[in-house]
Amino acid sequence: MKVKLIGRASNVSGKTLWEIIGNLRNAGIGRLVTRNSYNRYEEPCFFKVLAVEPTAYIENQTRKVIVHAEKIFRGKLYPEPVEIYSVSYKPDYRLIPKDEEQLWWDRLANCKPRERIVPGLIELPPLMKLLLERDNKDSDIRLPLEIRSNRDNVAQSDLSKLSSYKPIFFKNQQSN
Amino acid sequence: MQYVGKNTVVSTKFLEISTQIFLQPVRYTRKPRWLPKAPSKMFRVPIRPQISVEERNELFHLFTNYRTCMKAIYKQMEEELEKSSTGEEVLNEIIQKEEKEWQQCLAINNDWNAEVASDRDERIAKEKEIERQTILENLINSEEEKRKMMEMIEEQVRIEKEKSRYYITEENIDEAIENALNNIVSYNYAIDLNGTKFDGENKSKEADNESPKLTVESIN
Repeated sequence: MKVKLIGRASNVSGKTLWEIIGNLRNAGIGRLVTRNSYNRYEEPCFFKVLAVEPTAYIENQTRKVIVHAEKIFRGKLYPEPVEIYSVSYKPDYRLIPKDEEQLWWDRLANCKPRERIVPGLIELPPLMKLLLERDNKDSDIRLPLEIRSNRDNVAQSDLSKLSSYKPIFFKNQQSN
Repeated sequence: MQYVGKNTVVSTKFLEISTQIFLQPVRYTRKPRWLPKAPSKMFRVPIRPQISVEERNELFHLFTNYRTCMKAIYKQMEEELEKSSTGEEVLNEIIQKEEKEWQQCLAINNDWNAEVASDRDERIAKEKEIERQTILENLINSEEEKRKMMEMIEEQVRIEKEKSRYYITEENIDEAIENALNNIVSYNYAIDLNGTKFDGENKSKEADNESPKLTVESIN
């Protein structure tokens, strides 16, 4: 049957977590689930369900479910299991078939750890530099750039490199 | 002018309609935010902006770069600001300034103290002089009183001495008794307005006649 979508377009596609979990034997404990929005990453991202708690007794939360799962995000296993509750209503989840499970584990084993090195220093902005020079002050200052301490952020700062104020676009134009 | 992207022309048109000389509503010339969706727009599906991957990446890079750089600059400026109030040179300067002010305050205080001290010495000298005078006056007054008292006492003593001649003593008691018996005085009489003395009933008529006529002058 051809499906015609109406209304606003959505960013997510798939099923809600309860639609998957509720139809599985033993509430799908031990099965692998992934999110379609994680397809944008090359590295494998999926959940291994550890425990399930339905939320039908909570008012207006019948679409949701509490799932404790091991999370593998961008080829990295989180040290502690995570709880999926507030985002469990999103129709974004997909069950990984049993015959594909080994494939995903293999992908995880063969995944290279992510690396990202960013410049750690930057010069003063041009106008500020001019003002300091006008006042005969030291304008040759390198400001250290701070990297966000996010759990998924693997960026390492390279203090020998200087960041630029120029956009990448023009850089590419010049190189071309 | 309100700027609403593609609808700029429409909004200015609305403004022109509602613009009067004294009334220029700027907000809510359109539908207020709290009103529900217009029936004509109820089923309108807005078209999503189509952004190419390169442009999106470029924008992402620009915004992240901007935020990171701004954070670094903010931090630098905060450090400078903190240095301007807690740096070593600034602190030394503040200490020197405070020391100078303290010395100035001390000098002013010493001046005041000297002034007050001279005033106080003068005042104390004046008070001492006044006290000396009062003590002297009191001394003189007391001497005078003492002298007056002595005079009064001596006068009394003199009067008593004079009176003592008529005292009845052991020696002259017989004489005094004799005298009293000889000169019996009777106060049992009456006087009229003219000073005529009327003796009591026991007295003889002779005695009546002999009694002198008392006048006010004689009584006094």
